[in-house]
Amino acid sequence: MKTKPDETTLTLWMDGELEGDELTRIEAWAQDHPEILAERDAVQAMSANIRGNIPASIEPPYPKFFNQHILRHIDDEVIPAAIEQQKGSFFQQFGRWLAIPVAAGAMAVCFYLGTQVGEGPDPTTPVYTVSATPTVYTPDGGVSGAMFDSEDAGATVIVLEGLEDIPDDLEMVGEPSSQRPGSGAVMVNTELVF
Amino acid sequence: MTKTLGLFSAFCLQLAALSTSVFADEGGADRGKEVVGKVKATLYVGTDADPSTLGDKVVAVDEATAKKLRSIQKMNFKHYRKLGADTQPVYRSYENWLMPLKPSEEILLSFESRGRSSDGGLRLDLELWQHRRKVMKSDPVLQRGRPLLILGPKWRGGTLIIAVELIENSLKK
Repeated sequence: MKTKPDETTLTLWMDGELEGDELTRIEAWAQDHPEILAERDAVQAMSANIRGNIPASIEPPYPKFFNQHILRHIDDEVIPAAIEQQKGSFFQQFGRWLAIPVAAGAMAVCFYLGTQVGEGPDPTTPVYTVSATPTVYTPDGGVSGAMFDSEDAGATVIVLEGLEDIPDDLEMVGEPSSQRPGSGAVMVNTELVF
Repeated sequence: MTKTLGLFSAFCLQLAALSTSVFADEGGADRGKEVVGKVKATLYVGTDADPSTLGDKVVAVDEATAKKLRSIQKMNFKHYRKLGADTQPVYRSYENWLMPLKPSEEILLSFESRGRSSDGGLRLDLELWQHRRKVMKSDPVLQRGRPLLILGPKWRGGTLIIAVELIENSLKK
């Protein structure tokens, strides 16, 4: 054997656990490597020394007490789990009984809430408790709008600029014919505004 | 358990809906159609030119109104004429329209109540339409005796002024 054996095989050989052809091949290889032989001798001497001073197995002191102690710890782990399980089942049982009045109460609340819809001071016309500032919006980008208060006129004013002119040939006075056909009167409300 | 809760929730919702419909039937008609006020739109034209160019159907405006209009710089004209007016109810939660040039739809105003303001006025969603095209949207608060004046488009050398006035407001606190 000219090639060096792998580490696993070498370790097994040093521990004296190789047999047969494999042992023969490594022994032939080791003859050319005295440092390996010396290392193996040292390892085997140390193993023999350990075996000679430390027994292979040691009985625990007071074995009955040891086993009883282990059993007590096992019991300590098992009993709280059982108590927790009992508690869960208790609450589950209680919850089943509690579910009936809770369901009845929830239905009563739902019914009451349903009856409240449509009541109240004025559900469809909210009262603005905060005086929000009015705004002016003009969809056409060429039109601008401004709003201000005129105390002299006692009015709120909106000024729109950029609107298209109304054609001059368009008759702008309201006609009464749609309301009082055949009367011939002009529908111009003469009631003064201010 | 989840399925049971789901069924229970659905049952509660059905119960609430049932109670709502029962009480709604007791209430009768749609409350949204209830009249909660009345507004009036008046269409004026102001001009510095000879008012005869406006036609012979226009009506002169009293001096008190003219004086108030003249106090606003942008609406200061020598002559004012009235072109038409329309008064319409304000519904609790429905839109309505003002047609001061009835039956012409050249100038229209759509409005809808947004409720009573904290100072007792009526807040409206108000839109101005010119030639069936929306040209302005606003949310003014109208007070009785304090009109909203809108300076609008030009016509025959004059400028239209639309006055929107709150006539009635029955919305309570």
